[in-house]
Amino acid sequence: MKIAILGDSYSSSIAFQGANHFKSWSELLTRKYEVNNYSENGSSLYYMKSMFFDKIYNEYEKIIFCITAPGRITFKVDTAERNPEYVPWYRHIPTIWTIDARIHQIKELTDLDKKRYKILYDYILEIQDIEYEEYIHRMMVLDILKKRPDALLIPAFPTSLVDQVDCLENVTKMEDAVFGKRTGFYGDERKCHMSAKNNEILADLVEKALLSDDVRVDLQLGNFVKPSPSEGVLLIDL
Amino acid sequence: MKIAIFGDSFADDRINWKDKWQDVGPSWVDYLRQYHNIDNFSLGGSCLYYSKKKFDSVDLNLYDKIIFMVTESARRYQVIKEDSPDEHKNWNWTSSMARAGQFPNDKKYLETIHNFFVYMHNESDEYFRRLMIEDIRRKKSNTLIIDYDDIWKISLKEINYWKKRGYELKKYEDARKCHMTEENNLIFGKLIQDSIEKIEVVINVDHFVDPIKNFEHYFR
Repeated sequence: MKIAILGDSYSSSIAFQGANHFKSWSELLTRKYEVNNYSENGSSLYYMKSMFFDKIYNEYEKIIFCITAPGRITFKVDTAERNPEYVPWYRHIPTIWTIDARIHQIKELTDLDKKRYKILYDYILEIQDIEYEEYIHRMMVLDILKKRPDALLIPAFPTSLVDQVDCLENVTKMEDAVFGKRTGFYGDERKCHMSAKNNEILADLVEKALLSDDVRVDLQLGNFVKPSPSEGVLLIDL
Repeated sequence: MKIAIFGDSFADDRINWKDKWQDVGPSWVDYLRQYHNIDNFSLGGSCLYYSKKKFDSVDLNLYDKIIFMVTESARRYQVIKEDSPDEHKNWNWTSSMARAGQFPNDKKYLETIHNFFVYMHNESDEYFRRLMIEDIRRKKSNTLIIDYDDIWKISLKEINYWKKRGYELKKYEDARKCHMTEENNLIFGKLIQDSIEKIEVVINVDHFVDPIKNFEHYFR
């Protein structure tokens, strides 16, 4: 079976600073299937849809689309064109806290990109209309389903899909509660923001959905397991 | 027929003509009012999302027909103050800076909106515009959709006749109802009336005429 995976850090195999402690659920699927993973950390739904889905949607038997949260922004990054050390995720803005980190930590940012980031910060803080973002997000999901009604949609966040019961972030939060950590405020060396065991469980659940032609994965929290506290070493203080 | 109209200044024939410019002749909406019962929800300067929210807020079952003037994508809906009038909740990249002078307390917000348009606006808004049009059609399949790109050419033809450039118009207020001369409002009204049972209208700018009255009649 030829599978395409699209999404954000919940479906990519890139952890914080390239940590590679175990295989992600998306990598585990490659044991049995031919998988191309287009996911990028921090990416917006618009980016994934326009850069990849619209171009490849009819080339695969199965599409797995990990649906991110509304309101993420992607913009052209000057640094990308001028710097050989460019990392694709410079252009993705998952949250407002990302911007502050980027401006201060990324030395190779051009002055224009620093200016753009500051404008974006003000935009998200003062202007961005979440009701509009959620509406457009719903419309994009409908547009995806128009082209691939059989796409397997996996909600990453509580606001990803209108009809979802659970989401992947809830698995992360369950684990973080064991570690005593506030979700998102650390460098995460867990691939897909969950433990090795929970990645394996998710891989099995995804495979089950694919083989039964379901369009949703059973993400009930009871399907996942609490990690041992010692696995908290993979959450790096920033 | 009971008709609702949504859109921007190409369909708004009320906002600027309540207390002034009484000598400017009827709009294309006035032409339709001869034949139909019209509720005009349009607002000059509004973005598509604003019009869509208005569209969602009315009971569409009350209307036999919807006419939806779809504006350009480079506009945003932003409520700076809850008690602001609706015309102060819609922005494009020129109106935001123009109003910064009028509303100094809101200058930071308006500069942010302006900067967003200048540095961040991209092709995604065109795509989102298409998605909203599809959503409109889903909710009321017989909606007559008129694209800004088509109707703007009529207005531009008139401006070109007067040999004016865009920057020259900034000194004036546009007293043309729906940005068209009286004659072209009549032509457009007849075109819409002929297309009233359809969901699209073919606009051929060659069917519209050069202005008869001078520039000063329409630009004050």
